[in-house]
Amino acid sequence: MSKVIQVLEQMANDASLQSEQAIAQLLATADVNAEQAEAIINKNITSLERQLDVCPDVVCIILPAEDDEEEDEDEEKNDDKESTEETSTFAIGF
Amino acid sequence: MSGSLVCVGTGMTLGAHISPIAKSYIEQADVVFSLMSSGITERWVEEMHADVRSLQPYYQEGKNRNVTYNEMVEAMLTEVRAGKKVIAAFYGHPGVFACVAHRAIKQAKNENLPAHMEPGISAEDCLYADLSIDPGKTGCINYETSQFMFYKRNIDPAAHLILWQVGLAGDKSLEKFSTGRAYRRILVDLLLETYPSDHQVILYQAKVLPIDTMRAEHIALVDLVDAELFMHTTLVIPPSEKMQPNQIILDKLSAIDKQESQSEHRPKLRLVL
Repeated sequence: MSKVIQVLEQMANDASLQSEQAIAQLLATADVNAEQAEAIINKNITSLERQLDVCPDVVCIILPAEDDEEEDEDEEKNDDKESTEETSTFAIGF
Repeated sequence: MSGSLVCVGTGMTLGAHISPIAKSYIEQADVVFSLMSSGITERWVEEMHADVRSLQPYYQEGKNRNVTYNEMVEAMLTEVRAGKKVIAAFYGHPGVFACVAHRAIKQAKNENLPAHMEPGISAEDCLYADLSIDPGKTGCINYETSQFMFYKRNIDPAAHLILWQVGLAGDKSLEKFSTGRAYRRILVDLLLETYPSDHQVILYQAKVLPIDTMRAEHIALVDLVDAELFMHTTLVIPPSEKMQPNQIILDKLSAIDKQESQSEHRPKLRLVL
């Protein structure tokens, strides 16, 4: 794992690293370059993304307003209903 | 050998929220698919396993998202059918306001392939903690914003109303990544049927990175039209009214209490022969 990601992970899951002073101490000993350390201290996410060469444009929409699966299910139910009705009609015919 | 699918949540904040079991599933997978909410969290997951495939390339503005979601499901299922242990890692909770994991698990089960979900800390969980809201206090209802607009819903002004994906309000096409002022005006007009225009609402965004700042911006409802909204912005509408007692039900319950109390105090009868 790259050092910057390691540092971010450590900052996120270590209760003793929840102050600016503790983060500054961590960065002083961590194997990250000065520009990366500066981006972390200044909370400059754009700079960090650029330095890590990650895509800044990420889509985070995982829910449609209307689920096409439900429409399909409704159609299936309607189809079932129609076929049952047809069967019933035939049954009445007998 | 049969493949399998496990959909795990990595939580909202990189490194802070991932569960031990979710991490273990990722590390022991044959293939990992990831859908994260930032490039840096995507990199974090990529560094946990040698074969991590981002689902981001399936998104495309102008393409119906239902098609996108089904393509994501098919990509995962193809590997499961090939006998691989597939893990799909989603930011937050894989099954809360997120359809892909539900669709993939359903499809796998239809094909008799083992599949299940491991929960994660969702944006909703973070919202309750960050905004000090207890959904049990006066109740809380969640809707996807556009769905809330498309269908007639009953708003309870005594409960919290939370509208997700408010930045896409009113997008019927499922092809946009944001909608504009005109769409929001319709949402605000709909909300003004229940709430006063100066009612304070909150624009919320959870922390995604430990260096992120959580957004909890209080604005008047009417100002939502011109507010800066993103894909991941959530609208929180606190109650505008007090809960109204339901006297009919209270009277009925009181009658039962009285009846039970009388039967408890009634002298116990003994059969004397």
